[in-house]
Amino acid sequence: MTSAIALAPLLVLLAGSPATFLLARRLRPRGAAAAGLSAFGFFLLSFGLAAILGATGAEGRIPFLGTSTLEADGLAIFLALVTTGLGMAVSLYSIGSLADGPGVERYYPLLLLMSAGAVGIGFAADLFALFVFFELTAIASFGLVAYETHRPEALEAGLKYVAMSGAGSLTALFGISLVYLGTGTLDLAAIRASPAMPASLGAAAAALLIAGFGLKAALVPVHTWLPDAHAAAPSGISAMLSGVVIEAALVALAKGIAGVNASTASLGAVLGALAVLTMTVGNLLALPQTDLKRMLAFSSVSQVGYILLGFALAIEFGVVSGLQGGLFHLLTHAVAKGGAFLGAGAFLWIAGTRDLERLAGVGRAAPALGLSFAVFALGLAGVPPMSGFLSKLLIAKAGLDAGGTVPLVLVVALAANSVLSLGYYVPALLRIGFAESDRPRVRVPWAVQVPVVGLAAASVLMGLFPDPFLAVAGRAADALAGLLGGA
Amino acid sequence: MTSATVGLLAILVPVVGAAAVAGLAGTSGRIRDRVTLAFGAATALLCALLFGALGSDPVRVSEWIPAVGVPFALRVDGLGASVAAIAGILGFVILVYARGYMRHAALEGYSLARFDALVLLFIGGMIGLALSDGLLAFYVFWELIGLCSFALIAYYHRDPRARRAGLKAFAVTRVGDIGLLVGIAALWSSGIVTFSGLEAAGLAASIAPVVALGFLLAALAKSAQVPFHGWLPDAMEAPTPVSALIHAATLVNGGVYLLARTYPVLSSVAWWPPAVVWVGASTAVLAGVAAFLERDLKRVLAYSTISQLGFMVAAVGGGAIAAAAFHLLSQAVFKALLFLAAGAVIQAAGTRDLFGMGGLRRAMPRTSAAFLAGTAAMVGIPLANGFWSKDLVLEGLLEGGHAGPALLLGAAALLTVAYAWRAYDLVFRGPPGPAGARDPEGSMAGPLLALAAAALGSGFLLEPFTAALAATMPASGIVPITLATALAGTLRGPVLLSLAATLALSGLLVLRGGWARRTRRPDGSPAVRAVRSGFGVDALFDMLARRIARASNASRRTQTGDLNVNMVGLLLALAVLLAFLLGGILR
Repeated sequence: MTSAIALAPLLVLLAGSPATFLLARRLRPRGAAAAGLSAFGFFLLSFGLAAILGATGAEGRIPFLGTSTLEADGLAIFLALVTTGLGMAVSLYSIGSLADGPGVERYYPLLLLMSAGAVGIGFAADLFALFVFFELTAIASFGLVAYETHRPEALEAGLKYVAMSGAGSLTALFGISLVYLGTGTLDLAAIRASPAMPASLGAAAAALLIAGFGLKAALVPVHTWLPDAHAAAPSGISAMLSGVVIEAALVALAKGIAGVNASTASLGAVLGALAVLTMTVGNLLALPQTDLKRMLAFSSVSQVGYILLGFALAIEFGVVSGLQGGLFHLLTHAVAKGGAFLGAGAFLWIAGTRDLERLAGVGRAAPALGLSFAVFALGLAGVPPMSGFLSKLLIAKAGLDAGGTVPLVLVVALAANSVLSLGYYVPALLRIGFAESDRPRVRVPWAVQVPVVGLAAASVLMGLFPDPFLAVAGRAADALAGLLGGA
Repeated sequence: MTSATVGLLAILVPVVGAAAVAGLAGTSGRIRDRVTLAFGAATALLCALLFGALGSDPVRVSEWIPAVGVPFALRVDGLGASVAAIAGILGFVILVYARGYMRHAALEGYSLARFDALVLLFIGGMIGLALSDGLLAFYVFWELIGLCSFALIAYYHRDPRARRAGLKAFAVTRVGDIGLLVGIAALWSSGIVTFSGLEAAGLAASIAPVVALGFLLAALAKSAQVPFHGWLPDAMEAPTPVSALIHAATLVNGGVYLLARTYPVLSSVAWWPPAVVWVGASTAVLAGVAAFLERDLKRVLAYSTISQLGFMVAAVGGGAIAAAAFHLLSQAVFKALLFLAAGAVIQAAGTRDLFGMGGLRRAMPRTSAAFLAGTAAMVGIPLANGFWSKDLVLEGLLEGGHAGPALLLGAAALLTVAYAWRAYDLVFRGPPGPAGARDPEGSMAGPLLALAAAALGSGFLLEPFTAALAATMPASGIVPITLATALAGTLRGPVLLSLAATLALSGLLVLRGGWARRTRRPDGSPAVRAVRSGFGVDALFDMLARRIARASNASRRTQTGDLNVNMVGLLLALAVLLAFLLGGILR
């Protein structure tokens, strides 16, 4: 299929952004709920279209902005499903949690635009389109991190985020230009077909691409901006940033280095080392946190490390199962971390604080949210039957598929890290769900409750009946493996 | 009904029951009690039916995850059915007991719906664990029961000790689970996704050490063997029915079960059998010493469980699978009985401190008799269930040529005599105890009677039990044992010596009433301190935790929040990446 229908999930989000903006302007000053519903509708439409495309196996390449191309392959469909799925939950949640105010007409359009960027990263078939959508995500997210402009914390975090993000983008762009210098093309398929570039050029390009895209994916040591931005943003946005945006940057990283994979030795080894560093430092940093949202933000750093480990195993040892495990972990993490941030936002609303000490027993005041938070925390720690265990197990299996001592050490590092992460997930869970408090029961708005409970149910469901989700992740892995060139 | 149908129902019924009970959280206690007991009884019945559907071959229930080639299969063989039946039938008995026992918790504002739902979910998880042929499903159930255990240990959530104990239990067993996870990943990666597939294909030399070590680690943590035993005594903060069901009769057997299940394959790894035997035998002795020094009644029973699990682990390592499985059954029954009786005592005396009790025999004659039956079974007084199974373990190890470990177990058996009679003496004998103590009535009385009968009588199931194991587990090299051959084995050589010593010491200790009061040790004494610190292992774990905390604080210093420093991170990353990637070229 060569028609533009294959692009529909992306186009719907791009069109939905201005449409929602106009609707919110028109209904001002009481347009918040309508704008939220509009955003939810566009996410739903995009999700449905992506699901249909995935079911029919429709694929196609479509020219974009002149010489550039977009491609609807398994990876594009996968990323679209994850992004719009979480987008639905977040827009619904925002209806219940966001006050009517002067900024509402910006909130939902930017949310749609940010999601469109993440989806576009999946569709990009060349490095130019990849960079355009990568930047689209970033620019939209600047406005969202600093959305609560009356809070100095949000403004400071937004400013740092802009500066770091800009530096990262520039670095990545430099890397892309070196790839163009070496191969004379930006098209990923053409790069793969072209002769290998000089090794030193390839190495320089790879370093720039990893550092640049890796900054947005919050790899250690370029993760330092993340906790500020993810903690300061409105909780719905935190969910989106931690659940989808940094992971999309990791996919961008994988696509970016696909251009230099053939001409760079020890790329996978470097990524494997980065993965272990990232998961370990992320966990160590999460351990002493007393701010619930900062704790979740640091845990996202470590989770990105798990995903990257799957990718690294595939790149270094050619095991496609690593990509499947990594991408499935992207999905399970998006659901669990997205849900955890939404739950944290609700607790913040109930207790008026993000301080874990003062959140004691808040889960008992809203049992459905407390139970959901337990599901998310344990799922993130890799405890079955929540789906996080299976994705980690698949990454571990990929390591053993690779065979040998080095992958085994990487796998043990993964397993040890998942035990280490219990050191903050379970105390937080005990404090929120078990500790005593004299807080009365709270009536939580349905628009807050439904997405949180829904994500918790999804997390368990994906663990008990993972087959369809693994199949989608598997097709995405095949597409990415094709890009990485015979990996 | 086929074995798969019965098995699947036995897993699903309690899980559905858990959901139903959780849904009844707001309704009257009577309705919830009835629903809980109905689901518990149905589960027990289904578990009994398992014995009519035994088979050695796994049954594929569904394709489950075809995307990665993982089916859902059940296997109802003798070992699986007996472990499942312990969970289902004992689970029901303990649910009945909990109707009376947990009344105080409801008065204190703890949710009984949460209790019932978690116990039912646990029962379903344990049955699933016992019947799963698939490794992935096994892992899911393995963690599910750990999760229920964690939530039930922390059940009295207002008590910070309970919350901490829950965390400790969860964390320690999860350390072991690294091994299980890596082992399963290794097997999966070589195309093995079920236990039966593992038996058929055997273990490739390349992954043998990883799987053998990984599974051993997981089993030792789950079955609270040294050095991972520290979580079980602390888990005694759980409500007593939970201690009886989960931390005496079912969950803690998980490790023994895993070792027994994989014995036919893992015993081919040269170091594995001796390692398993020695760990089990040493644990039996160390925990026996600890039980003798402990002054908290429930913790005495916990150490005793660890010690008895050591007997089973040693037996598996020595290849005496039938003996291990039979002792597992005996221990589950007599230890559950002891815990339920202890629960009645603790409620009557208002303390768990052995030296705060005494003389309860007159006030609580039926509880005293039940505790006595449990003690007799644990000590191994002839014809009670522990007599048959413990001697079989000793015999099995001697036949396997493990004389050293058998000697250790002989010592552990004598320690059992000492700590068991010490506990009985302190609780029930001596000057009359607190006024107003009475035998429990109603729903707590029946279970004590039923379990006392089972503790005295279940040993006579030896013949059908071993016959079922032998028929359905051909790979494990089990021969059926009749009561006569078992008795003949007992009345011979070193086993007879052990029996004679047990009886002599028991006689001595029972006749000299009141001796146990003199075993009181000051809290500061080196022996008590050694036990309290888990023989130094806790210190190791603490040191590890401190190291991690220090590393954590050190890494925190890198998180300055200063934009300039963050930019340095980017430059640093670029420099290091370039160095590595260019280095890769030069190599």
